[in-house]
Amino acid sequence: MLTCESNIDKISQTFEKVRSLSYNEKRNFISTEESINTLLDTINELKQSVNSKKQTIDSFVGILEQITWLNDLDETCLIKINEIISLSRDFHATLIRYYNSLAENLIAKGIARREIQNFKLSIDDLKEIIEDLESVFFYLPKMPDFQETSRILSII
Amino acid sequence: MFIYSTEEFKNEFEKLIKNNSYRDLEKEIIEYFFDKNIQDLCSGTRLNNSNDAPYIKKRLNGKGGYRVYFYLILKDDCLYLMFVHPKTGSEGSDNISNESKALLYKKVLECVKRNTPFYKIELQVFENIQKLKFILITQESD
Repeated sequence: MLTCESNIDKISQTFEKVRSLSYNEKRNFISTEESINTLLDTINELKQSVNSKKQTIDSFVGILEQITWLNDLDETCLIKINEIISLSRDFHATLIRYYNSLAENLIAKGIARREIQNFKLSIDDLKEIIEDLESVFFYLPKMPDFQETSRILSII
Repeated sequence: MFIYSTEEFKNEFEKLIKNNSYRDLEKEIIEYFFDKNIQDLCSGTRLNNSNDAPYIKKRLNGKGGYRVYFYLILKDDCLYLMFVHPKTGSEGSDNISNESKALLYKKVLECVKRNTPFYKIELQVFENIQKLKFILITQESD
């Protein structure tokens, strides 16, 4: 049978144990919460960065489309447009490398999946308008059928 | 503004709207083309270097995005829808070839010359939903 003194010792030990456990758990909980918040902030920043790049691409695609509405372009203009096409291809290649890195590291883990997929759609739009610029300025004007159709339509 | 359609557009449109993935196409077409001033439609990629009668490729949003090819005749206040394709899904494609762009152009010429049947498109309301109605135009009916 335990004496009163030994009872107090036992209770004191238990008190110390629970105090330590409770304090450590609270501290760890707070630090885990901070870690989760930091991770979520980083994911949000990444999403904002991807969305911002997407908007930049969308806006640039609109600018490239507007070039097709210019009239009376001479040889100098066509040389410049050819350079725009080449530089845009470089830009596209860089974006594709960035997308591949995002897809490989994040989409598979389910992080920012929708943002990255929308980003890819914009990259595809860029590729498409580059092809269309080549088509409008360098291929269609050399197709006799296309030019003949234009000629007839202009006199109807 | 009068809105017409080539046979190619009608066939492609009717095929696509049967596919559940492209159920928003009709709404996208109506929202973009109907009840608009013809000048508002002068945007997108111009394929033929004409101000009076531009041949245009337009990106429409919708689920995954669509591409619509059309020919505007400003002086006649009308347009011809020539072709549509989705960018994604089972019927999706990235782009069409230069040869296809030229062929579509040639086909719209035949419609403008009234050498081939084409369609006038009107809106009809069915169960409170706006739908496209294709009305056949032939040389006799024109």
